Amino acid sequence: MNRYIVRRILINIPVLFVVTILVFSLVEIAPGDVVDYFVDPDLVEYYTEEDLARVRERLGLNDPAPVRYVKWLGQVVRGNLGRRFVNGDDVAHLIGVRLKNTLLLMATAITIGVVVGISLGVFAALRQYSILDVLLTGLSFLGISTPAFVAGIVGLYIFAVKLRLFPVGAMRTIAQESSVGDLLHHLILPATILSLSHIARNMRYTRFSMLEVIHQDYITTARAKGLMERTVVYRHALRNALLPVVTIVGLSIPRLFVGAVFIETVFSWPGMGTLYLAGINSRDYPLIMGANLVFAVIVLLTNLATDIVYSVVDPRVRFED
Amino acid sequence: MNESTTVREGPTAGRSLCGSTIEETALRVHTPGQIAWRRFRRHRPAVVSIAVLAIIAILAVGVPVLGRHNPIGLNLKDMTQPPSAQHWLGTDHLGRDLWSRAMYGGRVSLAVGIAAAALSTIIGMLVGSTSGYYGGKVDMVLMRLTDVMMTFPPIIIMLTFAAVVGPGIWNVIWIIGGLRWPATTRLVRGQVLALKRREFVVAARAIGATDRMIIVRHILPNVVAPLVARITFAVSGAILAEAGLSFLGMGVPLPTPTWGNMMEPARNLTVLRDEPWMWMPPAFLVLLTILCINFIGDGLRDALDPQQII
Repeated sequence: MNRYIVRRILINIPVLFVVTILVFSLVEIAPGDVVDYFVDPDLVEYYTEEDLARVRERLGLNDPAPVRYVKWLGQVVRGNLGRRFVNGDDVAHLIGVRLKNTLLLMATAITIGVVVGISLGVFAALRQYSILDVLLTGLSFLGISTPAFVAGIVGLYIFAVKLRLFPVGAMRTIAQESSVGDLLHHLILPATILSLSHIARNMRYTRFSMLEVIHQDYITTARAKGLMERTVVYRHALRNALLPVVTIVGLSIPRLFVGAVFIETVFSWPGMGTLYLAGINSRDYPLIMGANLVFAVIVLLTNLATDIVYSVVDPRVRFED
Repeated sequence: MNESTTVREGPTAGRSLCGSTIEETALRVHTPGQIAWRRFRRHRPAVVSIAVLAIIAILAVGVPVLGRHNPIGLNLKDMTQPPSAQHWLGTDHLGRDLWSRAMYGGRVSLAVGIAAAALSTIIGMLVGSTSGYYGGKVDMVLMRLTDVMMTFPPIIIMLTFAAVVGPGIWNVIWIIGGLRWPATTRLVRGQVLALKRREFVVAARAIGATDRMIIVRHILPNVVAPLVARITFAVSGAILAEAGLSFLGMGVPLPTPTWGNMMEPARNLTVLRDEPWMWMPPAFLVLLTILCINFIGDGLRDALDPQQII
């Protein structure tokens, strides 16, 4: 057990290492001279070439790329992601604040996606080829195919603009004491829309997995023993059918981040997605690098967690290799 | 006539090949292509999707003939008009006819999607077949590289590259095609791994075929069936990526219309609320196109690669 986990962790270390090299190289291939970002644009005409050279020297921009990479990595390991070019804000601190909001949005979406998706999957599988099954399977296809920004805009238009059931964006009402109720009111619509494609995906996989399991011999045996249908379905079938679903949920994290970028943009949610877009629009490289690193680390960690959870719920994988 | 390609019609096809069916010597012989086409036709949504997609494509390609307005030309007299007989889908803030823009946008969106998917498929096939065929260290390095690529959430890494290289149609194609190959690579690698131990490959090697000949002539043709469905999903994925990038203002720049950048104004609440004719048609067209392509992919997968269910 422990050996399996240790091996999983070790595999991820070189990947993480290459990720840092890739993130660092991005700024290297970016056009423009980094020194420009450290000089006040209004005063740039008063700088002589020598002044610029001195600034470069002071910032260590004259060192060869590998040296700068090692220095940068040394800072990153200590949790220092540098400062924003635009306003000098501390990137690590800013990401920490925004990440919390994004994780709240994503955690809500995952919860909705897992609960509703798996329930619908089981429901459809138990009624294979019925009208409801066909309808749900068709809807799930629509759910998987709908782009997050289309779902976001249409959802915002219908539920916030037309029906006025929810606020049109942001995390809390302006000029009002923040409260849990207010936060929930702002959270429900974007989180539900973000979860749509995950409901669809989880449903499809649960249905498929459930149908595979339900035709196994041990299910027939359980029925033959005279167990109640409910016990057979939930004790014997569902528990085994959910094994592959664990992996699907774990691997959906990158996709959720992508959805979150769009949903946050549409709903002006102050999370990582909107922060990252602000960085992209202003070519704010410390922020872009920091955000990419954080995204990559989270994806690696969730992959690792998925592997470990899977090895706990299905001990067979540990002994395979 | 090859006995192994003979399959009867009907629900028992394949199962009863030996035994009871032998007396039916008048067996009609179907090529794998015909069998696949028959299976594909049974997938109703896929067939309907082909028709719908054909209409969209004809409108998009034929718009210079069918369009009555210049999609880029400004017309400040007719600014921000709702749909009318003159402008079927209304006009935008600069008086540009939205029907023309939607059709031209479809042309750009479809072209970018197909080009990017072609690029990612080529890269995926090259990397996947190399990795699967040679194995060992080459495979190790290439697969770790694929892992690294998959560590970044797709749109995020695309946005980063878009920020570095700047907007533009070609840049968008390079970015999407250059970053979306890992899934194809994994698929091709898996297939090649399974195929390279088969007798016909061993036989080819025994008669002295070079590695390149074995891969191109003997292995890749057998990968085509599972790959076709994958390519279809690559096209819808690339169209989605282009629309997403353009929606966020980092894709194809204005004034060139694409469905994605036509939806960008909807990020503004006033446009979203008061001028829905501006964003509804492109939103509908993106959704419809992606849905159609995915249905076709689903049908192709059922037809060509029946073991795969999801």
